[in-house]
Amino acid sequence: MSVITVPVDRDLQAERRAAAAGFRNELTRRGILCVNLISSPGAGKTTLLQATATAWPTPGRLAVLVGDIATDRDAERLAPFMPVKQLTTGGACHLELALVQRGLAALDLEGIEILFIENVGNLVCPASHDLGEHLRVVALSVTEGDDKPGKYPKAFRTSQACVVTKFDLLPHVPFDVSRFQTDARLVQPVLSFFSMCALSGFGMDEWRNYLQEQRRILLEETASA
Amino acid sequence: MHETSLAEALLRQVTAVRDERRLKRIRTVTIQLGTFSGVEPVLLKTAFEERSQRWFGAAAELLIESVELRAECEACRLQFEVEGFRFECPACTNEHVRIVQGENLMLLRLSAETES
Repeated sequence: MSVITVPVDRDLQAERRAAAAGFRNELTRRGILCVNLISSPGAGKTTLLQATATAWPTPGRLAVLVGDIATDRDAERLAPFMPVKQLTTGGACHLELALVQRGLAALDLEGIEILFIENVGNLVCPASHDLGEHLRVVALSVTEGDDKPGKYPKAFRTSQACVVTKFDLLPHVPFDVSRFQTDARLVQPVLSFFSMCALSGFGMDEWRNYLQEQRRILLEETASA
Repeated sequence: MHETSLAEALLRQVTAVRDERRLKRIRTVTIQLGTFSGVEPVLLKTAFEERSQRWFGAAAELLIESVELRAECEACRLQFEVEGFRFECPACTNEHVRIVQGENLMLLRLSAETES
């Protein structure tokens, strides 16, 4: 018996990255903008999606895959607004690509412009998992505090847009908007910010315009490619 | 907490190498882990070593080489260590920087017993 050292040098995430890129290309080819929505539990992801669907100019253009550890409560809330498929992780704290792909097979994507993935409420692990989205959006409610970008840097670094929700509660909580934005821009300088009160519709026009613009850019890129 | 699924992915890779190379008992497994990989080293080590006992019949030790987070400035091309998650070029203060190191998990090498 002897002991030998075997060099391997294998990137453990390479396969996963390639699979996510392949899925993204497939959605691009079909003209569907995929948006991965992450936040802590209770930030208002589901309410934001309900309001987005209500404000969308043409019905039947949005669909959603919604992840939770247990229950299909979010799918029940979203079903009156758009086609939805609940993904239940059975304890896992984030969604993975395989689960998303299985869920997508259950949705009719005919005419769909934007596919939302409402991730499991968690600002940590979802940040490390590329689900093949074109756009990652982090939502944060004003009641959570303005110090979160520095505490959860990866969630903010890997996002392109940030929706600050429950904005109507701002007068009642010590949330400094400019401090929050400065902190977030240290980690992600190109982050687009949206102030939102989904229940009243405040901020919805800017958010909807942004999503439409992002899809237009995707279609242009596809056309020129 | 996705360290358990990563530990299992790592064990699958190690098993594949073991079978390809006809190795016997795995003694140590060395990985390179970026500080911005989103993986907690202590949790991964515990998860891996506990499972290795079940997978291999004898515990293998996980050795972790930590790799700092580095970025490259898209304007002046300076490569620098990102400290305190401040993604700004220390030379020209440009904010458009690309991460070049510190996000990955690499299986570097393993040591194992052979028959000969």
